[in-house]
Amino acid sequence: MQEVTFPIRLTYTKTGRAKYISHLDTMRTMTRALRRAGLPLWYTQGFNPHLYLTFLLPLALGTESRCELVDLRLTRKVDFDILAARIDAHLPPGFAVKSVASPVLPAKSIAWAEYQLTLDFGQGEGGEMETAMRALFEQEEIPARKKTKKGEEIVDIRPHCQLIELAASGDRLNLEVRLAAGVSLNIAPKTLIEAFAEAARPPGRVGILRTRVLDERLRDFL
Amino acid sequence: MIFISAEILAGVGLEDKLALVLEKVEKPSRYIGGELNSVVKEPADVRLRFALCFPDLYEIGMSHLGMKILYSLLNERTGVWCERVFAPAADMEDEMRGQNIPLYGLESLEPVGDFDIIGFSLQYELSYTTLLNMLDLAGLPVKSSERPGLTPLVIAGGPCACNPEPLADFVDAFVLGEGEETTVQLADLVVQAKDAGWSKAELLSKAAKIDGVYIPSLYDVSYREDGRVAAITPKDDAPAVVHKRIVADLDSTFFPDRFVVPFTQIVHDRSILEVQRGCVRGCRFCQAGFIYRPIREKAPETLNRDAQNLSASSGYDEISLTSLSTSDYTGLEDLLGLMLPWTKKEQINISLPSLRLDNCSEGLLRQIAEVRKSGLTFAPEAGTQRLRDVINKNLSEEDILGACRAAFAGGYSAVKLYFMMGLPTETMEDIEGIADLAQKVVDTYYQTPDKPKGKGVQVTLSVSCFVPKPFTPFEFEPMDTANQLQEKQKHLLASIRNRKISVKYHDSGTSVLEAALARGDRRLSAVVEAAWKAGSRLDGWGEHFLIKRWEDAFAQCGLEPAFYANRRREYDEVAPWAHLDFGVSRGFLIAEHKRAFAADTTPSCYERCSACGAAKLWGEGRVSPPCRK
Repeated sequence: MQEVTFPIRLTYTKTGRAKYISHLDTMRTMTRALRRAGLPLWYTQGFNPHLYLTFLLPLALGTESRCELVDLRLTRKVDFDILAARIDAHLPPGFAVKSVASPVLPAKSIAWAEYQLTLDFGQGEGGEMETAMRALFEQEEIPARKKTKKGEEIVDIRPHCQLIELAASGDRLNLEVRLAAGVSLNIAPKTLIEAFAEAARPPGRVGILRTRVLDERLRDFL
Repeated sequence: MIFISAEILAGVGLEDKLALVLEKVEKPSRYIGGELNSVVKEPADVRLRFALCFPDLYEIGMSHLGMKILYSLLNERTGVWCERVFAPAADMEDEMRGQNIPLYGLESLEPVGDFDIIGFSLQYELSYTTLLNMLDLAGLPVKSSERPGLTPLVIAGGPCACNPEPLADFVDAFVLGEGEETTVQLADLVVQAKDAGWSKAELLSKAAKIDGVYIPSLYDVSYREDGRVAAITPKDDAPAVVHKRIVADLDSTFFPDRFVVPFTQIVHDRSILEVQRGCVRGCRFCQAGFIYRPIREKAPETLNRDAQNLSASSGYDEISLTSLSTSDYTGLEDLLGLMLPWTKKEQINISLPSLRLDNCSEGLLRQIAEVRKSGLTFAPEAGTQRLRDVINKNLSEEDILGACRAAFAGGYSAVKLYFMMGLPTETMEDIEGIADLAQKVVDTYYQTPDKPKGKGVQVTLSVSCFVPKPFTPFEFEPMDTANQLQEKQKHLLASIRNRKISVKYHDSGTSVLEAALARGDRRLSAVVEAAWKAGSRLDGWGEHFLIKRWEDAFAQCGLEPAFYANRRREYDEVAPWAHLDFGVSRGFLIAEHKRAFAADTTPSCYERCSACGAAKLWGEGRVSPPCRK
């Protein structure tokens, strides 16, 4: 007999010092927060029942995010606002609930993610690097090292990267990019930054913030 | 308590430097604090900053219950802010030294060197060099005499403080016994000292008057020509003997209702309850069994309340019922009766890490199995009945096989058995006895009709090296040399002829060093310092330990590890810890030593009081100590 469960999609932010928490540790953190919140959580039915939790687009260590998505199931219906408040109250600093909703799209519909990148070059070189970045995106191909199962290979990431905005300020280069994301094809911001480093110069400090997750038609993934 | 918010830390100086290194090191979440339930206070409201240090990695130190108790206890006090500090792993240490990042508290990210009290937990001898390394990373001289200022005051406690002499040069004050009350008194005294502008000497002389506080610099130690201690003489009005402290009533004493919940996985990543302190058994090799006396139990109702608090505040899915011997806890079935209904509903597992073979009933096994089947671990400690009597383990072969039979019938197919090698009076026959016993456990499995179907049995032997420790009846005994131990290891391997039995060993080199430090005098401070200067730290980790550095350090100081580790000590020899009292009398230890050699056993405290002397710790006015049932 199949029991009735209520699927929930939680969107949360992970910022500040929380960026140093790895994906595996984030899963543990979220599990414990949900348990502390005292919710009617659904556990997988088996020899070793465990909390059903699916992170839709795992975040790399060192990256902040405004739009992390996780799916879970409840054994009975709870008002979304109450859920959001309860979970938020039990998350550690650096994590905050943005919204709770019923999932609309399946995980495989994720196609793009947008990021804000801050690259620090020092010595007032922001302007020069802005030119180099524009040049990179004007190339027909952007060769980049990508880790695959077989090892490392050079791939062209040009079709999977879009430059939305670019501005230099002093030492820094601020940019917004849209990168292919999802299960089958995923371009990490670091891959793009490394491609730039090869073409121009490696930045010093780097800040990465994931801002949006989108579907094929560039609608917010819900 | 005020709980951390990310904004508080924005703009902190160290954080900018840390940002540069944290992306380069392994498991950076160990170094940023901000965990749930960590405590952040407003520095302006705080009169005393306390750095609670564990001289090992985050994963180890965060697993330790004593740290959790002291952390919460100190932070309960307004005016005191206690922060956690752990040893950085090698990659982080390199980065810290490279970027000039001093050792910092995880809550404030502020340098430990600016704190008022730096308190270390001493759980094992091999952490001593790490203590020195942490002081150095904090930018402080490692030697107490080279830190003339009032603060930071460097203190240390924990089981190794029962013979803290090898650390006498580095630590200003030791806390003997259970630290809940003493640590708070010391903290109050330091506040008073700061307000009144005392000198460090004034503070130490006043601290020496607190019961349970030992100030090593207030004692002179003289030596005989052969290197043995001649006399330990108190200076000024320091007490001739310092007594350890205990907490008399565990039900009314402080216990945290929340643990700091780490992001990264730690060794014991679960709620921990302490069902009792002390142990009634008196196994003669076991230091904990003597230095934590007398037995004190906590009521099942108190424990159930603690368990509910911890589960609600942590979200942990496991609760461990710890003590030196949890199946001796008389309230165990009542406690499980209280806990099982709600833990089952909330998908929480109960784990019982320290069960004895002779009183682990079938009913109890069934209760545990109801929650989850993991491996079972038992500790026969020795392979023959004769040797088990020598060490007063009070276990028969039938106890061992009977418990295994019950476990197999209950669905278990793997058992782990703990043994020791190098026990006093041990012969090769006793070593063969380990192999024989393991074989009998295998046979028992196949003779059990309701054993798990279609599964083979797995018997794992974990064999450690016996290390004689202070305040045990074996404190007089020589330890086996590394060569003797290696020979016994070889002999055991040769005696095992069944592939269902596997063996794990402990390194004999680290054990001999542990033995030398455990019963060492304060001349070993120079050895510890030399070993640290040569690069020793995190010695408990195989990948960092280098015996050569220690051998050189001993040679450099004109001392021999064998003098401390492998020498028989006479009953009338002045022990380096002779001025410290842990309750159990020396007369009792001598009597127990003699009984060991006659293979005479001593019953548990519950069967008969053996007048060990620890009952006096209850203090006056307690006529009938409850260690007798």
